[in-house]
Amino acid sequence: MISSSKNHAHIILTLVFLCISLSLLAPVMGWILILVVCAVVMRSALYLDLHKHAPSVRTLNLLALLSAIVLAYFSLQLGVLLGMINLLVLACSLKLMQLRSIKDYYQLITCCGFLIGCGFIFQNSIGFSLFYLVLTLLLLLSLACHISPSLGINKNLKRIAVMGVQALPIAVLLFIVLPKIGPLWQMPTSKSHQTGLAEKVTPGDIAQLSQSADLAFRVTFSGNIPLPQERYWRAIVMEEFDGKTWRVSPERKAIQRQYKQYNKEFKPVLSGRYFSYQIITEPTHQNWLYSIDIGVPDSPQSANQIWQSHEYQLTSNTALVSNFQYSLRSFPDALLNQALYSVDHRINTQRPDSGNPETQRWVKNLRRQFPNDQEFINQVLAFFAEQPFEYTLQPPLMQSNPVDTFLFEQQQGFCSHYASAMAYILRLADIPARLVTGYQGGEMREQDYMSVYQYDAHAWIEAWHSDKGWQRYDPTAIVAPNRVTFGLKTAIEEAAELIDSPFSLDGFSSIAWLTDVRLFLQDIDFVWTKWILGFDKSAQKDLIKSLIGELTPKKLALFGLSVIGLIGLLLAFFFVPSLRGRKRDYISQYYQKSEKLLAKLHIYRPKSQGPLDFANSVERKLPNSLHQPFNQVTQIYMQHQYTKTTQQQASHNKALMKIQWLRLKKAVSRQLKH
Amino acid sequence: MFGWQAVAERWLNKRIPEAHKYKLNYRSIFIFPSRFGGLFLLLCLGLFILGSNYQNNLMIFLCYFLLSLFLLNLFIAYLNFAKLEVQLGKVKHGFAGEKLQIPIWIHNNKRVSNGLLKLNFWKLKHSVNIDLDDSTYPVYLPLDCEARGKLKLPRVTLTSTYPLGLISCWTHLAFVSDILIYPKPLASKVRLISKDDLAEVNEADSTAKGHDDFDSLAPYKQGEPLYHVAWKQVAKGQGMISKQFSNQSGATGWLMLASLRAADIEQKLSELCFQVIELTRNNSTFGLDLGNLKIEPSSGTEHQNACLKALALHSPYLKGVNA
Amino acid sequence: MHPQLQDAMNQVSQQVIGKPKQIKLAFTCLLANGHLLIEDLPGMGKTTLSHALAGVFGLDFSRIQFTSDLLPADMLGLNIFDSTKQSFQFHPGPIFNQLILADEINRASPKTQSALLEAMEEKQVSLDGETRTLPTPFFVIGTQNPMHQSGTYPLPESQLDRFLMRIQLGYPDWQAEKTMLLEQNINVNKTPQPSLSIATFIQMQEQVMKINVSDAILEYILKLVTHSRENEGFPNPLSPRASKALLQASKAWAFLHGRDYVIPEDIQAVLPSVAEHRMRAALSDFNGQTSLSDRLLEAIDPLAA
Repeated sequence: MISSSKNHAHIILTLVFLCISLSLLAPVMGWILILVVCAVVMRSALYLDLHKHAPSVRTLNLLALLSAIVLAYFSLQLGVLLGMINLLVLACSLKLMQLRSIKDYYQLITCCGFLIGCGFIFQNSIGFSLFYLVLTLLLLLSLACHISPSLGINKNLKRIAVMGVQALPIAVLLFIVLPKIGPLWQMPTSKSHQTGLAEKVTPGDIAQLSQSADLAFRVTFSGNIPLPQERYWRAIVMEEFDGKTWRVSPERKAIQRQYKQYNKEFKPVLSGRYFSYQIITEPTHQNWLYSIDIGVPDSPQSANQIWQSHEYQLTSNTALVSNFQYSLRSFPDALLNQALYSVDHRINTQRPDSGNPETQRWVKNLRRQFPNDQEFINQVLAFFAEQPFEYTLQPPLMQSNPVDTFLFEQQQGFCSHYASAMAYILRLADIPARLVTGYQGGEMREQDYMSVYQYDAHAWIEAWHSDKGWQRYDPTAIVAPNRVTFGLKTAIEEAAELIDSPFSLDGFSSIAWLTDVRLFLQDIDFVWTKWILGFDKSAQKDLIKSLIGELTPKKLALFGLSVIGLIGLLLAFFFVPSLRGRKRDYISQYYQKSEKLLAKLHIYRPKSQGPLDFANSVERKLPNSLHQPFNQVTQIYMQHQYTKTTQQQASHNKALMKIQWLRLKKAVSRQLKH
Repeated sequence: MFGWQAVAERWLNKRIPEAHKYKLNYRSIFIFPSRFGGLFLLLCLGLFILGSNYQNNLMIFLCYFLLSLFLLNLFIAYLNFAKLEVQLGKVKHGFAGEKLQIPIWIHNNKRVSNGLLKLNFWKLKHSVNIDLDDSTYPVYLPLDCEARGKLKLPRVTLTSTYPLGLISCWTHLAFVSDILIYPKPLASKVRLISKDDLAEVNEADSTAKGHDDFDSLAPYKQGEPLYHVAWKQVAKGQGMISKQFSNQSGATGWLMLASLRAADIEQKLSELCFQVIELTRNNSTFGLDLGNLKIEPSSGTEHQNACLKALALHSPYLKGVNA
Repeated sequence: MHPQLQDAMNQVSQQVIGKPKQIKLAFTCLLANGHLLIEDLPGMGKTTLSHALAGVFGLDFSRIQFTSDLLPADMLGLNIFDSTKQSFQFHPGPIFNQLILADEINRASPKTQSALLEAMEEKQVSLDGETRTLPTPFFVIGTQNPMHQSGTYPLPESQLDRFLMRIQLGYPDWQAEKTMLLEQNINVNKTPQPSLSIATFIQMQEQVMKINVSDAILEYILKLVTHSRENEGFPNPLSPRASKALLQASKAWAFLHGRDYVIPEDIQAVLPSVAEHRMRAALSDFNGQTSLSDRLLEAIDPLAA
């Protein structure tokens, strides 16, 4: 039974728990957070002595039972990961309410430690990492206060800080050196936490495109950098259309599963000019990867992790639960005609028979005029160019016959409206066409790296050309050419839709230093992402290779040993000084040495004798030549030990001590010879 | 089970032999992760698995950071503990059936060691927790003394989990002690026996308590201490009257083990113990005859201690000598 | 040593012959602003020493002979009704002097003893609700007769340690006693002349306060007192008050030897006088064993780190 009143350990733990729970605002359900706050308030009241009694065990058991039932009810829709985190937070808050024994306390500390770890699943920016580091240290501080309660919080804080600083280099060494292992098993990901591109597109349904300035991925190019109009980052190919919604074709999925089963990956043969680059994605909890046009893995490491499917779509073998790094080579001029035409054709001419009657009529007319595919397509593009279409992020809702409404009534929309409409038109004309979503654009930071943000999300189409295979068409580019060449920012600036957009903050971009700061922060974030978050197996291998050269088993063993040695050295550096204990100072050492010299002449100081008495007794026993230097030694020693001396005197005494000691030594050895 | 314990004890005796004073060092310190340390390692494992599965470097880094801390703690805990010096304090003699407070001095002169320290006797549950940063010494460890005789002080166990509760450092110290446990005093009649004719010279009819008690009033005699004067009576004009206390000083005789009627030897010793204390309180001169050990008549505290020691160590089967 | 102090000491040694060490200790005690207990048989020169000390320092001196019927008021003074002024008039007792010789302190009743001890500690007396400050400097030299304890109230240990030091005079040696007798014979008058003023004396006391005490010395003192607390054979361990007294006395001893810093020898010199009476109340317990202070000193190495 431990009391919470004025117990620093408890209140710190409580605050840490509150901070963790609040940082997990998104994954943790509201009612659990309320429980957390209740528990925190209760603990604080106990700490401040505003309240004396923690709730009884019976009350808490009842509360726990109720909460468990509610949580069980929600658990199906939460999924395993969120369910676990919610359960953990809930259990912690209940435990916090009934915190009574030391065992409870330790369990809470452990749970909080685990929750901090879980926090990294959802947040891994530098800011949050520092925040969690601080929370970890506070958790340790709570422990320190628990073990040495009367040392004072300041001293404990200092201890923890020192400990943290000492642990950091060891942790870094371990991090660099210990082999990274792949996922031990597939972790459940929560649907609700998926970010990035959606797996289906329903243009008419969305009145406003939700946009965020979050990073989608970063690219570093080795060699050529694609022009802005070439920056089409393919991600999801949607081949199934029901009149309203585009989604990934279930048939494709089935085919892909089959291929995967036999491990027969589609390997297009590509040639021509290419871009070679490396992508670091942000976690999306989905499998889609991005590439410029047709990309193929550039390294064996990447090849192992990426699956190329027949619609030239790259997926990672595991969901992107953390930052994922892969290398690609893209061939923008290569033809996309290597997959099975029959399958492509069958899937991509499917269309709903009913609905959008006006469009159907219009297409029939146009097709009659232009039986040639290319000409037909050109006409459609011309239609977009000639009609007063408007690019806007806030189009009206178009729920029934969305394509009709869009094409002939509203004529307002954003990329997916245009892409969806055009793909539908082409399919009506029996030209295989499909919707591709991904990102278009990317902001180059000098020549170093390119950042692609969520607001760069885009949709375009691919239509089949009998000779060239799949060809990309972007109707949006015709309506709003700036969207493609200069990015969304410029496009909507022209449309005066700056308000409510992620760039509203950029209104300050006229202030030069603020822009500098923003860019600097971006750079730091890039380094962080590339070297910390993206430090994977291959990065580790490269780093070790750059340190020790070619990786032979012998060298690796040696390397491992030297790392262990390094850690040992660090530990020695930390602890040997205090292990040796207090060293006697210089002058005292020489006094001791002098005593040892006299011991050679069988003159010993009785244990309890003071220096002056000893010197006097020496004077009686020894001739002048011997006792005089010893007298001097004693004088200096006494001055050093018992009087206040200035720095200057002290150093003078040191020198003098040595001289007198040498004199004594000579005298003693002379005496011994006789 | 018993055999195993005996082995452990033998091993301990070799490793940490009895001493008056201990300066803890690598020979006497045992160090192992505490229960919470185990939980902490489990947390690290959990973070590692989760971090690997989510390929989350930060989580893995957190895990390594905690592991490094654990490693550091191992050293910090040892260094903190190894600076302690422990010594047994002055122990008075006790009586059987009493709780004896055993004083333990812990030298932490320069406040180099910190944190909570748990002290208990080996294999005994009751423990005393002190905070090395804020404590008064000596620390008193209660010990039940059950049987008379020379007290075999159990090993004193010191445990510390400084700095973070992850690592438990402990030691079992055996202190050289010569604590005597006297028999439990048992109220009984004082029977002094004259040695010459072995007849009872004085079967005092004193009650169990009462030698110090006021007995009667008598006219003041020259030379009596002034504090015996019954001032109340004097003030009433009854003349100088002094208080008389029941007092058997001057009665000389022997306390004999053989003469006691109790059946049990322990009970007899207990009765003798009571009588020795009573007689000393009354400043009587008496001798003690335990059959195989005789203590010549004398009085005073020294004599009392000698008698009590004899009672504590008495063994009927030993051939004794005259003290 | 201070010349005036040397002169004072010479004068005292002419009065109390053959006791240089004891005189030095007595000086130390006064310089350390502490009270002195002299324990010895009658006729050993206790009173002579006190007289001489009062004389050389030019202090107001009074002697209180303690008897069993001495009442606190006899010592402290009392309020007497003055009929002419129709008010109470305070008549100060003998305690209102700078140097008090409390002779045969163990003869007085505990009540009187504690009144004296309280005055010693507080340097003031409270009478009828009024607090009166005692003169400065204020010293008490108590004497106690270790033998013939009948009808006495020996000071309990808790009160003995109000005296900074306890010294024993002991018999003088052959030569010293002979000198003494000779002087007696020719009847030389040697009334001590004050050789230093009170102001100088107080100044000296202040200088004693400023004597440098290094960390090594403090450690040594602490080791000594701790040893008495932790080890067998010391019935009354030394209290923190004892360690303070030890420090104070050794500073005065160092001053007396013309040093402005304390060395271990100072502590060793004063320890028996400062500590012995605190560790063992009555001298009668001293049955030819080594003194406790010697045992303490032998156990500790003053130079150990």
